[in-house]
Formats: sequence, C-alpha cells, structure tokens
Amino acid sequence: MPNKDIFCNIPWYELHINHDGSYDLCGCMSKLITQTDAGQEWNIKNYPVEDYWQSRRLRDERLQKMSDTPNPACGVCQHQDSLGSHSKRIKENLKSVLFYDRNFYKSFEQSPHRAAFEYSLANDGATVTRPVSYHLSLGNECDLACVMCSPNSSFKLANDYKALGWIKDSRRLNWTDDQQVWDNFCSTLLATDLVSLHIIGGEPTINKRFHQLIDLFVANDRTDFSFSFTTNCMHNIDHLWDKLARFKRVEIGMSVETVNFSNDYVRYGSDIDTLLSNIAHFKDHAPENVAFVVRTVPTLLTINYYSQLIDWCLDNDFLIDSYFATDPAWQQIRLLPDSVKIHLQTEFQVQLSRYTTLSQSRIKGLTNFRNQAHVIENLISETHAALASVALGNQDPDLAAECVLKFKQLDSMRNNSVVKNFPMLQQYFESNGY
Amino acid sequence: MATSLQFTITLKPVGYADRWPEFYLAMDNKLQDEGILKEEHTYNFDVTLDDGAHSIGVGFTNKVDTDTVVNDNEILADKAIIVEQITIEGYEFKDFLYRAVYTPVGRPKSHSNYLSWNGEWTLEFTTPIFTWLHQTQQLGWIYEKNL
Repeated sequence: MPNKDIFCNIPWYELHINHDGSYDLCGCMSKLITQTDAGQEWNIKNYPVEDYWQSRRLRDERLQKMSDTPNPACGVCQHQDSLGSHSKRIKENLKSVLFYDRNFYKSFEQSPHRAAFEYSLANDGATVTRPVSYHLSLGNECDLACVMCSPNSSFKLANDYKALGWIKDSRRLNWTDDQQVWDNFCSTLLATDLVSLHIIGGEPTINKRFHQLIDLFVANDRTDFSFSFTTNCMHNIDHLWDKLARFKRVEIGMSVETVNFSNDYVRYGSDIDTLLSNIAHFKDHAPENVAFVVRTVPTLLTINYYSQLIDWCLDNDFLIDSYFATDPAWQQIRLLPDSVKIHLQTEFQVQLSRYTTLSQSRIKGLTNFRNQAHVIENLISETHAALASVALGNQDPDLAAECVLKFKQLDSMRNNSVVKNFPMLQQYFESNGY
Repeated sequence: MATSLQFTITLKPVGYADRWPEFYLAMDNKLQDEGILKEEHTYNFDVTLDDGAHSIGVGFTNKVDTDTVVNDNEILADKAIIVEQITIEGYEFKDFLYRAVYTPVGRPKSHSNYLSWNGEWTLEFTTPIFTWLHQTQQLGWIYEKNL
C-alpha cells in the first residue's frame, strides 16, 4: 500500500511539457528541468510521447510514488499539503477516487485504478495506462514580467534578470518552433483519447500555436474533453468564444495576485483596471461550458492583500487555485517579520469566522475544490492555508537580505517602489537596507 | 470484489405513554436489527458487500390510526420514526434527505425522513462505496478504468 502523503497518480495519466520541450513530472515541481542538461536529454525533440511514457525516468517516478520516499522535486505540493491547502496531488488523486483524508487507504483498495498502480509496482515501473491528460507550455513568450515568475516562463522577465546580472542567458525557448516536432505532437494529440489539456504560460493567448491548437481540435471535431488555459487577462479573447463553446468543458485560469493597484507592481506590465474590466467582460460573454478559476501565487508581498482578493472571489463566485510561493525562495511568506504575521493572522481568523457561518451544509472531507458549487469551501480552505502560511518564526536573515536587495535592484531598474505598493512592509524593507 | 463498509444510521422516535414505534433495519433486505424505539439511537453497521447495487432500509410496523391524537385539526400526540442522520465511512451523508425514498403502505412515495405511517424508508447505493460517494458528491471526473 502506498504512502498517503506521497502517492500521486500523475505519472500514470498526465504528461507535462515545459517551455523548451523538456518533460517534467508535472508543472508543480520545485525546480523544472527547463534549460538543464536533464532537460536537453528528456525532451520531446528526442523522445516521442509514447517512448517517454515507458522511459526509465517515468518508471522510476511511478515506483517512487508507490514507495515511502518522497521526491524532493515535488516540493510545491509538499508545501501546499503542509499548509492544509488543496495541492495538485490531492486534486489529481481524486480522479482515481483516492480520498485525501483518513480514508486514503480504504479508497486506494477500492480505486478503479489500483490494478494499474500495482501493475507498475510489479513490473519495474512500466504501465498499462496512457497519457490522457496533458499540461503544456507552448513557449516562454509573455508580455508581462511578474516579479514572482520564473525567467523560464517569461522572456520579458528573463531579459530583466539578465540586465540585473541574475542570469547569464535569456532566450526564446519555444519548443513549438520546431515544425516537425510540433506536427508529430499534434498527430499524437489527435490520436489520443484526451480527458484534459491544460495550457500554461508564457501567455498562451499571444502564442500562435495556442490558436492553431484550438483550430486543430475544432477542425477535427475532437473537442470532447476538458480544455483549459491560464491567461494574464490582459487580452481580448472574444474571437475564441465560438470555438471554445465546442469543447466539452473549458476552464480559464485567470492570473490575479491582488485586486488593487499593487497588482500592477507584482504582475509588471499589467494594468489593474484593464484586467478587472476584461474579467468582467469574460464573465459576461463566455459560453455556458466555460468556468473560471483565479490562479494565485501568494508571496510575502501579496499575502498582505490576500483576504481582500478572497473576498473579491466570493463576490464573483470564483474558485482559487493557488501555489504559495516556494521559488523564488526570497519571496516566501515565512520571511515576513512576526509583527506583520500577527496582524495577518488576526485578519485571516476574522475572515474564517465570517466564511464558516456561510458554509454549514457541505460534508467535511467530501469537497472537490475545483467544483464551482464548492466555492465557499474552496475559499475557506484558501483562508486556512493563508493563515498557516503566516505561522510565526521561521525567518531566514540571509534570505530576507536577499529579498530586500533584489527588490531594490528591480525597483531601481523599473523605476518602481515596493514600499509604495506595499506600505505595510515599509519598516521591514527600510530596516533591512532598502 | 467484496469491500467492507462502515455505515451508521441515527433514528429518533416520536411516541408517548406506551405507544412507541416498532422498527426494523435491513441491509439488502436482510434483517440487521429490530425492536421498539423509545429513544434516539445510532446503529452501526460494519458489513462486507460485493460490488454492485445495495440498499439500506428502515421499516415502521406498528402504527394504528388511534396512535395519532388529533384535536381541532391539531396533532396532540403521534407515533413516528425520524431518520435523523446517516454517516458513510465517517462522512455525514446529508444527501440522504432527498436520495432516500419513503414508501408508506397505501400512500404515495416521498423523500421524507419523517416516517409517519407503516412502510419502509430505503436508501439505495452502489459499491465500491468511494466511487459512489465521488459521483453523488460531484467530486469531478474519474479517469476511465481501462485507459
């Protein structure tokens, strides 16, 4: 029987491809292998999907998921789990009828996929399953340069990082520029009984392959699956609605960090008024099969406005899908001083008591945090995670110094000011040399 | 495949003097418990069931017309059973309030959990139970078994 704190069904059903074509276990790895030697080796340019699916790398991953040894690379989910949040691991396991609470073991015994999991254990990690869920980056072109993003995900941010001397190289990484690789991959997708396909950034809506992909599925009448993508909400997508209406289900992940002026600082290059206006427009014009979820990466900056964002999600009936920042480490919430954390704890506790009175009917333990009908439970869980994220102590003076120095450098280059956007942190930054 | 299942059902009586409801509890029409219900009680089941369709039933068997005391259209006293709560594998399963069917003898069926006349209240479910809970609670899609 696998370990309930480690098991994850992703290596049996989902494939993740990074911006440069490298394969990763999923998008929630602590460190993606983009632009590494491993990324050059385990790459769609070298291994077609079907070969990679039975590769040594994925076999080992399946065996590890069946063991008691956690993969250090799965740090994002481990961090989410430690906060009591709804990690991707937990959400994906539900698709194999694996419950995330005390019933994990019993539900594993009864899982419709137990035989597939145990087959891998008995056959050196090989699998009888096929990838039916894809998590794709089509490249690193993005018109924003968000401060908590990876330079691998935004060419624009990579340029800033390079100008500051934080990285040596900034390049366009789009694996989809290779026409033959792209054509082969499209053929694979059309031959697959897709269950879900999720496109991440860069910014998909400004990537020509994103539009080609939608057109390909529509033209081939292969739309009987859940199609989703994450966008920075800075672009009009009215031209997509008729096409998206053809899909079984569509989910649009909307990247928002705060709902005030400070979002423009964090999501550099965006404009909060345009963003909120676009989101309202999306809601008004989307076909009925389109659902929305707000995607956040709470950091030591944005956690200060997080309760406001959660309230806004409640007002708009939006789910939140968050990843509390682990990388860059210098933006982790734990670095905040206790004085700020104590204030935030009070704020989240008050919010929790308000929300709990709104939610009296849902069965504890039986919540799908991706279900639109479960918004209040989703937001309660999010508030619990936010509260856990501001646990006292655990500061790291070296990282705090790095944080202040890097924001100082970034602000100097961008002619911006972190303390003007987050005045509650003025003392923290200035006492650390900002 | 056979799997074990933990089930609790809480019954609350309505009665007076020496008039208390007689009940039985059955799983797949097999008697699990029976008696006179004089106070609220939670019954625990730990059963092993083959994969497939099943039911749990609560029967009410000893009501007569004179058990209901009415004066000027107001019920002064009555004999009945209230199905108060169900838990499945530790989860309080509130959906039973509209998923179960109460079939009183000679009267139309309903989803009421207030058993006011002789008859049987039945909750149908399937096993594996976690798949059933997943589906009834709309926990999202499930990858097909033979992908």
